[in-house]
Amino acid sequence: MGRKKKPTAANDSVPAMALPTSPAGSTSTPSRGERLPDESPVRVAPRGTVRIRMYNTGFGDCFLLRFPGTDRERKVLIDCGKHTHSTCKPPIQKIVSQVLADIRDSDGTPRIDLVVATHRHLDHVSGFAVEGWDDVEVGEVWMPWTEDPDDPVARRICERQSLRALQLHREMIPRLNLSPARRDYLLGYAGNNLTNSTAMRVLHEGFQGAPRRRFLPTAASGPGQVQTQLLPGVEVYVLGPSRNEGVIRDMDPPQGESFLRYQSASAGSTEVSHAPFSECWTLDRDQYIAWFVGRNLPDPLSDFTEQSAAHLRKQLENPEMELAATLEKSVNGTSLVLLFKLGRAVLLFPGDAQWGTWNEILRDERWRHLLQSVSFYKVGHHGSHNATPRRFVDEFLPPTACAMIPTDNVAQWPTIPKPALLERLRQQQVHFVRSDRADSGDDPRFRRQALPDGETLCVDLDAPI
Amino acid sequence: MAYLTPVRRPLKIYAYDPMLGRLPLHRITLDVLNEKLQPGPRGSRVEVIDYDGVVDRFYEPVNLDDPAVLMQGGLEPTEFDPRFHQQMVYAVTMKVIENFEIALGRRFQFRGRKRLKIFPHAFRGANAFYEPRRHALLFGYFPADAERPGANVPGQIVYSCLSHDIIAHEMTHAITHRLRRHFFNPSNEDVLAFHEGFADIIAIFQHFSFPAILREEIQHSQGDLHKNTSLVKLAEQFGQATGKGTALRSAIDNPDPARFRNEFEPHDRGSILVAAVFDAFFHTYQERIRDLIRIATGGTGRLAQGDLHPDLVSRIAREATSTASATLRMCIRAFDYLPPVDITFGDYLRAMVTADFELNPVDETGLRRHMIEAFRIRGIYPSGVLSLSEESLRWQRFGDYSPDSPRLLTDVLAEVNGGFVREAAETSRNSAQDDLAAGGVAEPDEGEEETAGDSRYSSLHRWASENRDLLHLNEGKIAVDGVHASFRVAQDGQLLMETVLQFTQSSGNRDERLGGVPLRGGTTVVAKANGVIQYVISKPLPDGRLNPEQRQAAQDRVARQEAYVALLDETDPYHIWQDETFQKERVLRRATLAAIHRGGM
Repeated sequence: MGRKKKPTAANDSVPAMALPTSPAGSTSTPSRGERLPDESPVRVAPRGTVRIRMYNTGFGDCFLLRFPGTDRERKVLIDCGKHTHSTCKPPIQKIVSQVLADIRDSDGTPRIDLVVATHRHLDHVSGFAVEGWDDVEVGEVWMPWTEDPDDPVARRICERQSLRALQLHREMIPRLNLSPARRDYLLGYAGNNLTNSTAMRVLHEGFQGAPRRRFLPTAASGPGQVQTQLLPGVEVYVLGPSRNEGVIRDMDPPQGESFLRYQSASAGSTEVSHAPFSECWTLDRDQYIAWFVGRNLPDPLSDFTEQSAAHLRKQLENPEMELAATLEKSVNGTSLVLLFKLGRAVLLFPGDAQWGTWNEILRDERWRHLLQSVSFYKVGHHGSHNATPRRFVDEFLPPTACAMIPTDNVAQWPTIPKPALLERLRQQQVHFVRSDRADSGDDPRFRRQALPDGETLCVDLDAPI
Repeated sequence: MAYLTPVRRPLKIYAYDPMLGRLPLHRITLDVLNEKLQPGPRGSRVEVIDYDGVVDRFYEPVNLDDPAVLMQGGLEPTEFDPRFHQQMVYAVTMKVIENFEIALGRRFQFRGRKRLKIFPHAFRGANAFYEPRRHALLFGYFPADAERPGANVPGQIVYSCLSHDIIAHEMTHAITHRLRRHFFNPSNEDVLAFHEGFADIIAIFQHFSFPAILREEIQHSQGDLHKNTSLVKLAEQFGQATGKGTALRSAIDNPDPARFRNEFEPHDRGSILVAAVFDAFFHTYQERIRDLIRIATGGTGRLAQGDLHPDLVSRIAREATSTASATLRMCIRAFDYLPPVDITFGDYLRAMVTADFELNPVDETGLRRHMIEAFRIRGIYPSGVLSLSEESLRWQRFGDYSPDSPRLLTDVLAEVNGGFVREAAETSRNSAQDDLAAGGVAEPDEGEEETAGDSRYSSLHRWASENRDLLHLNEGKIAVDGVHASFRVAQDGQLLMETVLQFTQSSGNRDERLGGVPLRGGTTVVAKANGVIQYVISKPLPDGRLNPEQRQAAQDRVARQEAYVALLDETDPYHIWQDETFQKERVLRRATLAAIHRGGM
């Protein structure tokens, strides 16, 4: 990341006193040449509810929350991105235009009180690389602590992750002897982990109103309640990512050696000069057998045929998929986990947090209590099995809760969303809806808005407070 | 007139690895049993094939019988000559086999007498592994980390086949698989961890059989082997060269029951087992040298600063070696008392205590006591025991409460044991005369029973089928998974001969929920030479005919396996990106993948 400027505010644990509670304060008037897409029918949440809008980005997350306030409503945008493997058609630009329309206040200025980027995966941030955010007035931007440019541990994790992604994407996968389809698939998969620098630059430096950047949880306070004036009356808790060493270890991408081996293996397949020993000891198969036969000894390779040798070579190459999966997990491990509480509305947004983070959360006495009152759950990691612990569904998530699953059926990933998880949610009487199949919602409280071609644009839910 | 064939063959190795081998003391001579060898080396149990998969070439094989090699007691340690690498892997694997033979009281053979293939330079990569399907050990080589190479040159080639610990570790995997073939099927969180931990235990305790190094470390640490000496570290060069900055693993931990509850990566969990065993060794050793220290210090027990008297060092070293080999023997002997499937650390403790008791009814050195304590402080409690007293930890002796205990059919036993006596007589005459041409019987496929065209198996099979209730086996198919006899000299000087039988059953159900590992049950039977059954150590499948207690245990086992698979699913990032075939076999495939691709042995 070629960042030069420091973000406006450092990651102090106590909010700056002079922080405006409204993102206004910018004098610049947005000048837009284009007409906005039609505004959605109901803009202001009915009193007594928090409106949650899930946009259908395909395989990706984008949520807009509207909290009621005494003077005006407060808007929170959580993630905006789409995976390149998505099957759902609307391009991310379309979703972004809709978001920009939805956040426009009556004075014509697009405003968001709080922008949250849970982690830097493409399917959570790619929308920020689309034009249009420059005009948006933002109060604050929250990111996981691993994004903090001044935190050395965060820097190390971040750099290692992006270096590995770059190696996989630029050097290793292109060099492999793969079918074009497989290569494209792997490139897309590894590409999700690239720095996504345009989007991240917007999040770190962009927007109107010089928003303060906060990296949570802070080293000083750790997971806990976030002191903020942005959302009056709303308690905000940050549950993860942890700063515990065991969990940080999960965020670190695989150690160098497997990558080294991988690189040299792909390079070595064409260059014999990589042999570690002098030529004088190196024999080909025939020479090796001749060595024995010449000494009146039996053929030592009778049960190590040419075929077994070829099979051995094949077995030892191409661990790219596993490397990519481990990398994917390590970035997911940095997910910011937020819980918003306003009266009865207890909204849990875990990003794509995986086992390490969840395990930490479920072990924490403070959270156990809070999690039992969750009224809305954003299903983690598009409904994959290892982003929603079974224990959480069985022991914590109350039966009356609602859930939204931003997901998409990608052919190569038949277990996302995991059928067993959906079944379990049903059994627990948790009402849920999928972003890609609005008809999957069994509850009239989920209201779907469709595009002219019938594809879902977004789904709304009003969570009572 | 021919010369007597020597019993031992001296071979030089790096005691640890080339990095530590820069000290002359760390290049040692290992005596292995002399056997008839072909170049390779190719002996009766292992054969080295130096095939390099990276360049698709072979490296010239070493001929250990060449007079030039014999005359210098094996090639001198060097990184540059592949033939020394072959010599070292051969020597260390043979040493591991020998340790098993001593402890188990029988000749070790792989299934179907098939030689284990060893590839010292199979691939590029910081790893080494045992591959059961290929019946092979594969060692990798790799350039040391460019930024953090430790005490190596950045980019220098590091050979995993020159690390004593890595060789011993992988060889132990192969032997463990021979003794208990279902221990690669992860049916609970302890199974693979046991495989890893046990392999480390063998590697660590072999360090204590190198006298010169041991004496040096004792002098250096004033007898406190608990200090961070090379003795207690595993694969130091490997760890440093991969940028870890330290040895790959260590035998020392901070005992914490929370680790046992939360750690389930097989190597990390296995290291708890290693630490527990080492802890027991260390306390026993300390007790055993207390008198020596008292004598040396005029009763104060406080050693003066400076060097120890060399005589004292030698005496302490002797105690250390003897305690280490007693610990090692106890660890290995436990195998005969392990259930054939679904091992837990608790089972292992019970098996160790039972095995050691059978051989040494009196715990003179306190090793058993210390072992129990070391497991306890790490929160490892066997299930189904009333207390941690030795009596309650030992498997219950079969005849203890019924005077007329059933016997194996005498003719079955006569047949089984007769075969073993003949074999023992043949092989013990002189191992150097072993017939190299023997072997080549196909290994039975996974899940099939080991018939090997041997009438012993069919009569045992018949006997087991007729005694299902006694053996806690259900009406389903029974596989005879192992028949062994062991001959050992007990504490009282008597020859102790036992026959160990293993029977297994499978639910046959490759349930997708269990990720491709079926539910397995099984029973180990230990019988005396006269046919009296001593122990029936079982892990039954759920069955209506079991008594309530056993039925509960069987159901708990099923629940535990399901919970384990669920845990793997939650923590593993890999499988969610895979297709349906993978999902069905994910637990099995994950175990293989982890072995191949995760950095580190």
